[in-house]
Amino acid sequence: MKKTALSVSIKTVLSLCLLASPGVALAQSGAAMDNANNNAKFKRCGTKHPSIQEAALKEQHFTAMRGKPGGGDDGGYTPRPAGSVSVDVHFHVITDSSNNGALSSGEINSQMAVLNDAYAGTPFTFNLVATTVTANNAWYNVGYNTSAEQQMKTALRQGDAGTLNIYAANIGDGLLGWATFPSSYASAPLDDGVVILTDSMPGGDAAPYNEGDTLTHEVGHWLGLYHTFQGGCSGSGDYVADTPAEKSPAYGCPVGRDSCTKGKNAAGLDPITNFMDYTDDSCMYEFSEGQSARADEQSNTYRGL
Amino acid sequence: MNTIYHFIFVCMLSLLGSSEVAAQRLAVPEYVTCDRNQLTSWQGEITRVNRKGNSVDLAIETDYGTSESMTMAGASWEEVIAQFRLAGRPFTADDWSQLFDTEGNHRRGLRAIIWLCQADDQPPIVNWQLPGR
Repeated sequence: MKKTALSVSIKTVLSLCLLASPGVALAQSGAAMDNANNNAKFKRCGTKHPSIQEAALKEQHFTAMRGKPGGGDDGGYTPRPAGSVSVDVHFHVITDSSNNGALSSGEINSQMAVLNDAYAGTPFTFNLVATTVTANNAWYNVGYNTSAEQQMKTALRQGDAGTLNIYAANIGDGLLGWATFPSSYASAPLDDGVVILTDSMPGGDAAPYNEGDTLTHEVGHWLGLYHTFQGGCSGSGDYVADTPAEKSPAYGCPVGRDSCTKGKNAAGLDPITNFMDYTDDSCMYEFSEGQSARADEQSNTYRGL
Repeated sequence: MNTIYHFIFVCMLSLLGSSEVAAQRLAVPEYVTCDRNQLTSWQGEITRVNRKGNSVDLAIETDYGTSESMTMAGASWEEVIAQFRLAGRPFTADDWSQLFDTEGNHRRGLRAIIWLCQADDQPPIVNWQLPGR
C-alpha cells in the first residue's frame, strides 16, 4: 500500500479503537457489575449519542457497501422472488431447572408456521434445522445486555451471519423480545440473533402478544428493519418510503391513528397493522413492499443471504 | 476499499455505542391501566430531570431517535411519585435519591420507559431504570 494520507488515517482510527473505545470499557465494567450482583438484569445500552445519528451512519455504510452498478441509494435494486431465500434456523429453548419453559415440537412448529406466513410474499422462508433445549436458571430469566445473555449466546449460537438463532426464554424487563441488526454481525458475531419471551409464542400466556408475532417483529429487525415509528415525524424515519411516518409507538389497535401531519412521509394514517409497530398481535398482519425490499437488500449485503 | 470503509465503520460504531435497544418490542405492563388504543410510550435515556417542589421536569432521548420532554406535577410529592416505578416495582420516596449521583446530577445512563395516555384522567407513568445494576 502506498504511504498516503489514507494510511495515516487508518493508523489514527486503529489508535482510537484500541485505546479509546468506550464500548469495550463499558462491556468490561458491565461484566464486573453483573458478577457482583446476581439480580443484574437492567438494560445497559451505553448509548452516548442520539440513536438517530447512529441510524444515519448505518445507512451511509449500507449505501456504500451494497453492490450494484452505479451505487447510490436507489440504484434500481431488483428484489428477489418471493420465497427464493431460505434462512436456516436454530431454535434454542431455555428452561429452568424445574423444566418451566419447555416447548413441544408442535409448539415450535406452530411458531415457525406463523413466521413463514408473515413473510410470505417476501423473498424469505425460514427452515428449522435444529432445536436445542438447555436448562439454566440464569439464562431462563435472561435480561437484555447482561452477562447471562452473553454466556447463553456464546454457548449456543450456531452457523454464520446468514443463520438465524432464536432463543426462547422467560425474559425480563417487561420485554417481549429483542434482536440484533445485520450491520452488527461483523462487530459482534456471537451476539447475533433473536431473543423472545416464550409466552409470546402461539398459545402462550402473554396476551395480547401470544400469537407468535413477536418473533415476526424481531426477525424483521434481524433482517434490517426499524420500527415504523423510528425517527418520529421528521427525518428519514425507518428508511422505507411506503410506511407513513409515525410519531411514537402505537399499542392496542387504534384504527384511524394519524400521529404525523407534517414532515417527510407524513401522508397516510399510522401503519398500525405493520409488523414493525407495537400494536397487539391480532392487529398486525403485514410488511410493506418497501420493507420487503429493504430486508432483501440488507440481508444480501450483510448476511450473505 | 470497501474493507477499509467497513473497518472504519465498525470502529466508529464502537465509539458511538449500540443502537440495539432500538430492536426491542415492549409489552404493556399490568400497572398501566390506560386503554391500549390510547397509549404510547417513550423509551430511552434521560437527559434532564429536575425537581421543583411538587413537580418534576424531565427530558428523554428516545431509542427511536426523538427528543421528548414533559413536566409532571401534583398537589404533593407523594402524588407525583405515585406515578413512578423503579424497574417495574412501586417507587418510594427513598428511591428518588438513587436517580442522582453524589454531585446531584442525574446518573449517567439513567433510562426510563414513560407511558403516556390520551385520556385526561390517566397521568403519565415513568418506569425508571437505573444504569449498571
